[in-house]
Amino acid sequence: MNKAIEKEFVKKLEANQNIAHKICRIYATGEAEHKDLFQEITIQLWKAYPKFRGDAKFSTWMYRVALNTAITLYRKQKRRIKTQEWDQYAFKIKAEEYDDTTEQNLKLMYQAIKELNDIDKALVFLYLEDKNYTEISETLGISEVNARVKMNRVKKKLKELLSID
Amino acid sequence: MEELDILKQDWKKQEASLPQFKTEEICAMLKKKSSSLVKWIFFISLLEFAFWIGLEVFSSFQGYNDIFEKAGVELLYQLILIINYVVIIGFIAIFFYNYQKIKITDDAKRLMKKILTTRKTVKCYVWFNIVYFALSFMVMNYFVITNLQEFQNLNIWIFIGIMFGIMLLFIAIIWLFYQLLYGFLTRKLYKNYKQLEDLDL
Repeated sequence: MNKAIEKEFVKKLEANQNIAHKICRIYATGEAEHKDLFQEITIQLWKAYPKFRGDAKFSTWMYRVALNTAITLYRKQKRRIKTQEWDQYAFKIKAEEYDDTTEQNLKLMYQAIKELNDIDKALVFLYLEDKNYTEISETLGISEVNARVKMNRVKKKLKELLSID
Repeated sequence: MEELDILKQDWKKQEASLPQFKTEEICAMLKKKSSSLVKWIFFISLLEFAFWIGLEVFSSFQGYNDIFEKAGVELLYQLILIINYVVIIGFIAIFFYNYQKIKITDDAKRLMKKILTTRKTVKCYVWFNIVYFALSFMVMNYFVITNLQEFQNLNIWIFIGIMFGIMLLFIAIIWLFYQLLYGFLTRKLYKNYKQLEDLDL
């Protein structure tokens, strides 16, 4: 394909790569899986790029493709590498910002999210990304009312998971 | 404050600590092969079409037709073959039409539904082949046995019983093969689709 288009695409993706990293953070465990999922998202974005119309925002379009890749297309490779350190990278820098209990709570919360099913994870992700219910319903293909109901259920489920821990 | 809202605050702060890939790394990723589910389903489906067509071609070269000629049912056999090929072409056309419609930019539910529909087409194709094969096998056998002198003193019921047994075994093997092949491939997709569907009732 055209070199100029490739360059333009890579530039856009590089600027928006946080979206994909955050999805990996919710769906992947360990460094190898994180990179694997990120790569699959990149490939899917690139494949779909010819149909991307400039009038839509790249980031909005990217949310959809990346989330679809994570919950529909992506197949985990069978790997057994334990990379605990990677999983906790987000907590490292916060030592000064939070006291120990808050940090501990956050850690537990991330663990609880990992235990949710793929659809619930998507809901949590979109919520954390500050998406409104219209956007959530359009991304997942469910009605707005059901998205709202489901979100409340997920919040309850998280609460339960945390109280068990 | 809700748990999730506490997390939301942290979520925004984490951006600085996320890993960042460089331009060259992203470029390298573009060259890599996709391992997506759709790709797998597509290739396995093509193999399935090829397998049944291959079987058909193979058996027609084996000279089974001679016995039909002797029994005077050649025309019926030709008709069975023509119907078979027309239906197979139809299935392949539907498969490609469905496959074309799979778009990653659809909403999650629609995307999953389209993938499952594509899958279903191939599943129907395989079942059609099994059933059609079994039926035409029985019909042809019936005519051959009743029309040919050599088979007159054979106990027809024992013969049918044995044929039926072989057929069931054949179906069981194919079913098992499918469970293995697609079980691992579509389990996650099916589960996620069900969840979305249940929640949208």
